[in-house]
Amino acid sequence: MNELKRSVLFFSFCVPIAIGITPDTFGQSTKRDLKKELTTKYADEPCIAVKEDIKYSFNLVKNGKKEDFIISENYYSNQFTPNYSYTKSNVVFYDDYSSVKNLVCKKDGKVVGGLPVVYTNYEKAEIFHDDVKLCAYKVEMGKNQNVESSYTKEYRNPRFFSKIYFHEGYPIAEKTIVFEVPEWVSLEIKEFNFEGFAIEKTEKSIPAKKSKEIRYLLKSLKPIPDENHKPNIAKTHPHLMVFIKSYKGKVKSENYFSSHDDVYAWCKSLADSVDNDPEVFADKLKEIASNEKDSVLIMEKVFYWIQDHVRYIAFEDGIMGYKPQAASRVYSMLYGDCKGMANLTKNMLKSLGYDARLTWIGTKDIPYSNDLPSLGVYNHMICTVFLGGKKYFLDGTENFIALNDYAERIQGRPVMIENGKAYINDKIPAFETERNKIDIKSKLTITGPVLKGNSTLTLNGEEKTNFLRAVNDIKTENQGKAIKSYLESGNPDVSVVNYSNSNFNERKAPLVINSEFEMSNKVFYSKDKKEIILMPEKDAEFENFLFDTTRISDYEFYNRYFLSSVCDITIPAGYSVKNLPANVTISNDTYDFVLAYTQVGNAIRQSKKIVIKKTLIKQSGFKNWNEDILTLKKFYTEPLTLKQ
Amino acid sequence: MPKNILLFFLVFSCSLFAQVPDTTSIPAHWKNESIILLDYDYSIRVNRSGGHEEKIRMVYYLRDKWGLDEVSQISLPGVVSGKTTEKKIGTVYKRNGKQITIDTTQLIPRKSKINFNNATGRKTLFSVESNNGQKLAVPSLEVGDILEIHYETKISDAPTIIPLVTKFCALNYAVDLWIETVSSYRYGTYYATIVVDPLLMNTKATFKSQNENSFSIKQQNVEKYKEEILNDNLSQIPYVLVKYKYKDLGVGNNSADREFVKMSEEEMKKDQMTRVRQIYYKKDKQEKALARRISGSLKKKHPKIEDTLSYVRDAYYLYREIIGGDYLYAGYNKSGYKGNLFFVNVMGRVLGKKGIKNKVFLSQENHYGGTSKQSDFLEPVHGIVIPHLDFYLFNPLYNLEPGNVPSHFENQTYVSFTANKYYKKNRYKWWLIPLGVYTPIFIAPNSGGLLLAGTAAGIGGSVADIVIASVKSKKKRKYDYKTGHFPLSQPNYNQISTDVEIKDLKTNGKPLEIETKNSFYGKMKINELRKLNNYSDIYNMEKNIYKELIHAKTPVQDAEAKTNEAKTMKKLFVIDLKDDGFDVDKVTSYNFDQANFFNTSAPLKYSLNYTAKNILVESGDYLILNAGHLIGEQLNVNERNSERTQDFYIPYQKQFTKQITIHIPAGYTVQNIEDFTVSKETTAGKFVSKAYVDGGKVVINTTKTYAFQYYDKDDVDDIYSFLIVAEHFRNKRLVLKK
Repeated sequence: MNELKRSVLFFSFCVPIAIGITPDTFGQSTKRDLKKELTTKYADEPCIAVKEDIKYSFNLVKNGKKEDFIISENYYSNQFTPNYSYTKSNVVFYDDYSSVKNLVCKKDGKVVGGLPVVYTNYEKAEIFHDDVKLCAYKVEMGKNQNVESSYTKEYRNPRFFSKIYFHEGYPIAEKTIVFEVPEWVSLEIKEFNFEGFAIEKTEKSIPAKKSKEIRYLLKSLKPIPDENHKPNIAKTHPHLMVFIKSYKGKVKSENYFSSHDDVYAWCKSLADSVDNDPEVFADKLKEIASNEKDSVLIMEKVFYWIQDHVRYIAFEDGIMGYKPQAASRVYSMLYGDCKGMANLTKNMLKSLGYDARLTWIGTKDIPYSNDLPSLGVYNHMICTVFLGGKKYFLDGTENFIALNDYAERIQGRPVMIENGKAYINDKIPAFETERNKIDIKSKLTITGPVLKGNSTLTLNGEEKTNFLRAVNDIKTENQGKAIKSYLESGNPDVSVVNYSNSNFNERKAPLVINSEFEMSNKVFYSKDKKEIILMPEKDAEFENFLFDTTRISDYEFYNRYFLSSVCDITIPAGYSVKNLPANVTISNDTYDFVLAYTQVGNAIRQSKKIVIKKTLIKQSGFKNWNEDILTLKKFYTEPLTLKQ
Repeated sequence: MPKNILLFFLVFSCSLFAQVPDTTSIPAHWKNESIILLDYDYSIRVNRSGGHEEKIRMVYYLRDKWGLDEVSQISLPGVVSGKTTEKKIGTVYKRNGKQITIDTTQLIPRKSKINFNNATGRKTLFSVESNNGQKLAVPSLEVGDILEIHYETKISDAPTIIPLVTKFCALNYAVDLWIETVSSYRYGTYYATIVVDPLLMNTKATFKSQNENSFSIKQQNVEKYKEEILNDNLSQIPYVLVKYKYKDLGVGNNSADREFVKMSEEEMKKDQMTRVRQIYYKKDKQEKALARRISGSLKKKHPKIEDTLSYVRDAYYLYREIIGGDYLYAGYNKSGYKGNLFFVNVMGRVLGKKGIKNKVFLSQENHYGGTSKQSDFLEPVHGIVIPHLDFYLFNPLYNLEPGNVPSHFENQTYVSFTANKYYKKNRYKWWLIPLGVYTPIFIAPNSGGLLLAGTAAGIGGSVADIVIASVKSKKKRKYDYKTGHFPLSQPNYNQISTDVEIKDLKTNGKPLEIETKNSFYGKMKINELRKLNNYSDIYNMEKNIYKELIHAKTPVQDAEAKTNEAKTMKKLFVIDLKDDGFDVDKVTSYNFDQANFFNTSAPLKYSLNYTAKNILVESGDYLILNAGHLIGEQLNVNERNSERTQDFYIPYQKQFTKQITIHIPAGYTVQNIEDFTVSKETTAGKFVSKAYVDGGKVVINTTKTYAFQYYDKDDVDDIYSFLIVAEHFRNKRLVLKK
């Protein structure tokens, strides 16, 4: 080799080394660039995932002479803390039919020894899940520190293996979900909410393993925001539902849920396995029915007795929350979850000779049709009674609901009613928004510096049941104060002098509250007393209901809203109207705001009609909503003037 | 078996078969009570090892749904698997007179043990807390049921405070306390002293007996304890106080080390010396070292002591600065008396060396053990008093200016002792006499004797008397002891004074700009400084004062850090303003003018400008401003006068003054200025407002004064009346017309 060639060869090695380029440099610098990009993009986030992988495999594991069908979830996540040190909580849920193992955590590549892991029961918003557990551990992450977490979760009952989400509460640069499905497993994967997300799906065969690989890849995942009243993410975020239909093993084969019929069969078998012993409440039923002859009235009495005497404690117990408690047990304990209460309702009525049946239902939080072969379409249970050619849907967990009335969360929802080996598909009736009507009729008179008034408030539907529940939950000694506070609408200028109400235990009729009140700081006089300035608004509904401009999620109300309010303000003798605030008329698919002042004889009439027709306000509609609320607010705060 | 115990068991076992209590005797004014305790029998037996056994019988009458839910949340004995030192012996439940079993297979966890951030359908956790395994059994009950619970426990500790009320009204409430003792003798007696605060006792109570080691009471129709505004709850609850004297076999509060023993005087002295040495003497070197360091640092600034107060303040500041959070220093213990003693020892050395006479004082916090009229429970050493300057130095833990008295010591008595001779000799001995479970008391050094609270003063005597009596008896040495009284600061000493200015009411719909200048005095200044303490401007102000004494580096912030900190501060101010009832749009600017850290008479001052929404309405010819809102949030009186059950108490008197200046836009006149002149003054305080138009401005001057520390509940109207006037003032609107 001549000198020149040697030199070239030498320099081709040395120069790169001299300027610090190593074989891995390009990979590292790409990673650094990515981290930098993520740090800038998510400046306020405490923790960012660079990569997350979840891989599902299906295995047959020998268990003595038996063979267990296990679904393994292998999880890996690589996260870093860009801005400041942070204590990260990692949680893995499991239950009686799954387990978690091989929990490993690495900080900057080194395994963290002696990880303090907590194992406990899961409680969500006061619902105690006896079956659902979690294991969790905290990791102290320093600024710009890398943490890798991994675990294996094994599912032993494929019936409870269903939903898989892409998003988490933190940003993820890249996420893959992989299924390695052997040919002896029959499954179906259904995709939800993929529209608007660039999810890449690939499938390939793995002949050596006699299986196929289905891979989903999504990049640049934004964190799921922590915001109140956001819709169930099952409605908004992409996810997969996996239906394990069957498998063919070496020792045995098993069918799970090939169709919805299988779902029913399984649920029914659980329900039928419960020993109910109706003798326990036979005497009580005699007492409840007493001398009543009308079968509808007897059914109603039993329904109300359960509402009043059996406490609903959201206690999702028993085979992942699907097996009802025995009716006799619920009766003895005087509390139960929705399944237990439905079962008690059914058995109490059945023992009186009614055709009462268990009924599975998904509330409005559940976005799926109930023809899917999955348990995930149901989250609630009620009782259906067939009587006189009509179906009565009885939900014992809804205190103060009347017969033939239904909570908004189940209105219009499909139900699965037990019917021997088959089932009946039906739907809960849905009502118009006016079912929830709040009707207010008021009269005001100007007495010196004070506005004196009286009002009749009538509550229906959700407004009524919510009020009755709240009042009955409050300490008796505080009820008066609480009702006064409710009538004063949190307005410090309003003082309720006295009130009277219809029966707080009456379910069928509307709830009526009459009150007398005084309003101060609402009446002003010009110096010469020739003009009166009035600010008569008392309740100012939705006055400050503005959406934060930074809010990301849509907003979902708990129920539709219907307000009709008429208030007559007597014009004092010798005065006439000088100025009235401009009327408001806003109407669209989602809501109506119609407010006006008119003169009617010697009174000024304020009329308000506010209707929220749809519970969902989309994020794209926040700007218009806020503008409309400001218009509403102007109506409330703008004074009226009278002149002599 | 002692007769008492036998008799007790007989009585108790009979009560198990007692009839279900009669509900017809419930007083009419309890008709809205959700739960009534028909019977409450509480028996306590304290044994010589310092543990005790409890037998309790509770009979609840459940009258509404809230009552059912509340009982479900009570930790039902016998089914709670907690990590306490309790050992449940037996539990019996009855529902309407019939024995029942609580289903312990259906347990639900105690609420709110784990926080969740349900951000995803996969239920990602936000934070994890252990629920310590505690679960509740939900009893099967209906409205109208009577639930009876009997249970016994053994607890490895001894009770000190036994309340005589609960949160439920009680038809019958009985307490029976008995303490196993050894016979008392003159010195080194270890036995329990039972103290009852007679002022707070239900006058209908019947004492069965009260002597050294037992107490029994039966009460009828006991009203429940209520939470009310403006009181210090702890001092209002009637209770039995039990004080123990025991020999600590080890250092610390480990109950296993306690033993009631009989000791001779010699053994007693030896034991005391050992204890004192263990805790304090081994740290002697650190005290000396720190005292030397402080004295050395002061030499440059104070070559001669020309201004004693200035020297004292600098010494105090240095102590605070050096100790800071350094807990390694000589047993400095945040939790109490060790830290106090260290402070006192060090400061005593520093000042004593320069001939500045000082005394150690002992006192009692207001809310600890009865009202100030019945001081019977002195805390140990809290600090130093310099008599000729009438100047106090409390442990810097309270984060006070030197010379200031912490809130809970205002208007309290103290006992002080001098130890000058010992400073000069650099010898320093303290006798430690444990008088209560948590409260040792010190006697002047080398008193040569021991303090025996029980024998000297008997039950219920003032400990101050005891201390003084004992000290007086020592004739060999002269002791300069004194009782004193911490002053009650006047309202204008603890004041917030705010100037509020609105320069332009014509906003064209935009948020209104409001400029404020705020001055904080006394305790209000301390509270505000604590809040702002982490802000570097404040921090640097403090450090700059003492740069000459210590070489504290003032932290250097880069521009980004400064900007971030300013953002944080603005957020803090927004939160404060919102708490004060303002609908804040944003904080536009702020500036710290003066901190005046070590000047008790000068204020902390800062200006704060912000914009607010929903405070001004413009319509046609009129401008309507909610000017009342500018006085800030007011205490809400949500109780009727007739409902008041407890005396009033606030730690210190205070005052709030505002001067509100509103520039009147050209062409407008004020229509209702007279609405803003109000006045309500009583012996308890006042709310006064004077408003007038001065040139082109509206000026409103308001003063709200709390001029009491204690106030009788029977004079409730004196307090509620001016509070209600202030509350109503806040909603007043100013009307201007073109």
